[in-house]
Amino acid sequence: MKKFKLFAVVASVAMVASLAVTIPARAAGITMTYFTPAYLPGTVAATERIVSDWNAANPAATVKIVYGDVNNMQDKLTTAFAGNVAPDIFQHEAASILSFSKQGYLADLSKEMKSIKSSMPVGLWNVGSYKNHLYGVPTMTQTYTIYANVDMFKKAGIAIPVGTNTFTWDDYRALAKKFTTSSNYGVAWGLKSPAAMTMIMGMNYNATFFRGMSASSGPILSINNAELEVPSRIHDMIYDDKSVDPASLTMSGAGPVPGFLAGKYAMIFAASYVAADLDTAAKASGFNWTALPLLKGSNNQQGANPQTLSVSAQSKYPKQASAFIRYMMADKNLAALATGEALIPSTTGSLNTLLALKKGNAGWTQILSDGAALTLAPFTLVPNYQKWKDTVLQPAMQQYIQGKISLAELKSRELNGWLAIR
Amino acid sequence: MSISLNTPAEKKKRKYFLIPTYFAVICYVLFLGFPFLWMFTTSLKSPIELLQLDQSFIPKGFYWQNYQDIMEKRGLINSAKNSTIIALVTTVITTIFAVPAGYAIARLRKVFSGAATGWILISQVFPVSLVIIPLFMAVRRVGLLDTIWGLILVYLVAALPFALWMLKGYVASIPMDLEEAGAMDGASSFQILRRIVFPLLLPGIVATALFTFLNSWNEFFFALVLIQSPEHETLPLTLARFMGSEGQVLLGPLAAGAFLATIPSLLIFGIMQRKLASGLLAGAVKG
Repeated sequence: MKKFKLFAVVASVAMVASLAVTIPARAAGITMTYFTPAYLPGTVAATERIVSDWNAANPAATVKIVYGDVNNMQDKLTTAFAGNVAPDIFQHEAASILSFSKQGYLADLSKEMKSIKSSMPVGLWNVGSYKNHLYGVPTMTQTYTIYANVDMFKKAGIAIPVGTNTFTWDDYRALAKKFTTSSNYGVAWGLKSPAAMTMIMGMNYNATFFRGMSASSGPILSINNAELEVPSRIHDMIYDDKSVDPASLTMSGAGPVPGFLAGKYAMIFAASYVAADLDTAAKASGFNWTALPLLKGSNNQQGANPQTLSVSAQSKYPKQASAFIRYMMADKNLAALATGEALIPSTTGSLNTLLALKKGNAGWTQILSDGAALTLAPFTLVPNYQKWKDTVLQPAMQQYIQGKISLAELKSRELNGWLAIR
Repeated sequence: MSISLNTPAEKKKRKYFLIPTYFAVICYVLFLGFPFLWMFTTSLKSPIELLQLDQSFIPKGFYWQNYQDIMEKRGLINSAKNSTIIALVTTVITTIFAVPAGYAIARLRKVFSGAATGWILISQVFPVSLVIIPLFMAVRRVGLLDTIWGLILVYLVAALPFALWMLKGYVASIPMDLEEAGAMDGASSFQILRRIVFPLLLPGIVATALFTFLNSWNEFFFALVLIQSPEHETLPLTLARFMGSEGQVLLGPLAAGAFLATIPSLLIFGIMQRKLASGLLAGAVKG
């Protein structure tokens, strides 16, 4: 009995001693916060899996996920920075982190991300940079794409356009007209918030919008034929050709999807994320869809506004936070995140991983190969661009598309609005 | 001469009158309740069904997964608990402070009353975007950032001025003659307040409490800024995470969450509206 008591005492002391050894090791560990607007089930699952894997491999520098609301990220981050309680790492979008970069709220990641730079298109890398310093690592981005109902094309005996740099705005207009009948419109186009899309697509015609970017008096808004080409083409399709369903004009980007799935339209114009819904429908009902090549005007380039990962300058653990971002950027991880969001991953390796995963899916293959056409949209670097876009361009463009104002009036509102804001 | 309403002819007349009345009430209730019912049936639809062009009122199958998702994966229960605590505590404290303060402002001399009312109004004129960062700093300084008590404090500051304003109006509408009559009958000031003013003020108190509760229950922006951890999130924050950019939305889970989030406020309104109605009759002067 005495022996047993002695053994119990020794065992207890040993246990306490072992705890004493392990506790400081745990106490020395750090926990970083990762703030993300992920909300789609696939992305949430991928994010949690990645963080869980990281935490298992790095018990001394773990990550805690904090979910945010994608529509209020800017407010949340602004107050967090002002209050010095910013998350260590956060996901946001390139155009929106610019103001934080200028205010010195973000850590320069240029050196920490050197190993990733070569695996990313230069244009995309530049989108996350400001004055040659990288403040946001581009992770994934979207393109504006035309989706086609393959069965309707086959039935009409019309060949589906394929390839890159082959499908022009004129071709698109002609196709929309061909599919328009007395009872059906050829295309549905969710144009509830057309400002960003018309500017990004304007790059097809070399629309720059702003000139004198480095002038001491600030950039000047310049609206010429190039800047008006895309709105004017959309207007012609709606009112001259009557090939765009007017009911879709007040819908959000994904709004026309149910009509498309029901065979109401041969084509819809939407962002690449719509592919996730189409995939769901394809699995459930065998819906046969594909994505057409990117539209081409003078070129097929589109401005990129990718999702980015940044480290707060307030973070006490910038090295560890950067290491976590590099881990997220690993091919397998980035491909998983991009699949959840139906977006194009930014690195070559993750793109190839995703292409292999989606092999045989023509729509996805087309969307993923469109990434090469993405480039920096210079207007996103203009101070007050966001404010002008949201408060001036958005309502003016909505009215123009709804046929309430003329092209000349649109131009006048854009220019006068900028003078009031800049 | 007395008029009887219980003659067979009168009864028949009333019956005929009641039929269209009930019909109108049923139509009105259906009209008001239809969005709520639509939300409920939407919450039972699968993602595939929600992608269909023609949406039926009755779901094709009962997809309970939406409810499972919001409770297990999105922490809706915890958010509901936080929202309930915050809204109830804010309502109770606001009412406790606002009733005597409202009475004092309504009954005190005009100069003081005017100054107090002006001060209350001034506190309401600043836009939220102007005060949010100083407020954020203040809450952080007192160590209440990312706590439900910090949010309660902010909601109290936001709710009290308007609650005072509302109650001041209700008190002012109670004739002074009633209080003077009570005093003539020998009632003390406390008795006058308790037996005469309070019963007459009850509908106003209930209306103010309901207003405060609903505002705290639905408030989004302060919670968005002041709450950082998922475990302290309120319902509006959790529900907002079902919506993406460019009009993307997880409709099924959002409808399920919104349906559940509406139930407590409906229950509270259902319980309190009886007081709202009964208070209107209490304490009336009998001729």
